[in-house]
Amino acid sequence: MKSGFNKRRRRLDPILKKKTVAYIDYKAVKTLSRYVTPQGKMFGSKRTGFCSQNQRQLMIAIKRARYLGLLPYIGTTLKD
Amino acid sequence: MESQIKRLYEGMFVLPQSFVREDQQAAFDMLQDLFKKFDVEVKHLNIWAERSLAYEINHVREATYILTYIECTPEKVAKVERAVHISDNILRCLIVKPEPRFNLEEYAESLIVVEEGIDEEPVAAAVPAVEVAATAAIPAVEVAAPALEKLDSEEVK
Repeated sequence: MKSGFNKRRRRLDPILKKKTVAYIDYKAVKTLSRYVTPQGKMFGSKRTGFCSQNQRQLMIAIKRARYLGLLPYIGTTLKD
Repeated sequence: MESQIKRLYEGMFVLPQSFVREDQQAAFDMLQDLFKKFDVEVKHLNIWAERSLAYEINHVREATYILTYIECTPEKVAKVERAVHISDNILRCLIVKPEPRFNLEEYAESLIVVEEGIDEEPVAAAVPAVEVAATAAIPAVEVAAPALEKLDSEEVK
């Protein structure tokens, strides 16, 4: 915990503190927005700490949310 | 050959906010008529949220999201989607399978509870947390699920 671990890039996982979530829904916009950059790009699994199943669910959820106008395709920083 | 097996779908319809505020019942009726036209059974139909869109769609910035649960054959979904594309008043629609452990009765019950406490957490009610259905195979999820819901509701406040 003391050495080595802290040198790595910080993962977003402390929010969830578990390995697997049963389902990631496109309607949970607040949670989804935590996994995209201000530009609107998704974080990779290295950053999110999700397993591959959850990462895939996250991808689908974000894309659905984008289609419905819940999340931006292009974030505010690049629009102006 | 058309499939005869009916199954439950979750449909999210995005309508202009001005259109729904003008006459909410008319908006609901419009959707009901649409479903009726294709012989689709409506299990649940309600407003999920009123939000400003992340980007402009057809020069509309404010939208109302209507969440529906419908039961029909897979072919009907395509027909409804096609009708929505032609319609002027519906900006977007997304019809997908609900999550694997979704239970419509439980969901309807949860809505009733939310309505009672709507003064305290209006936004949290409209945007539920990540649906974390605990599975028997992963007992750790069961412990973590309330923590996540709590986190989401706190954040919303």
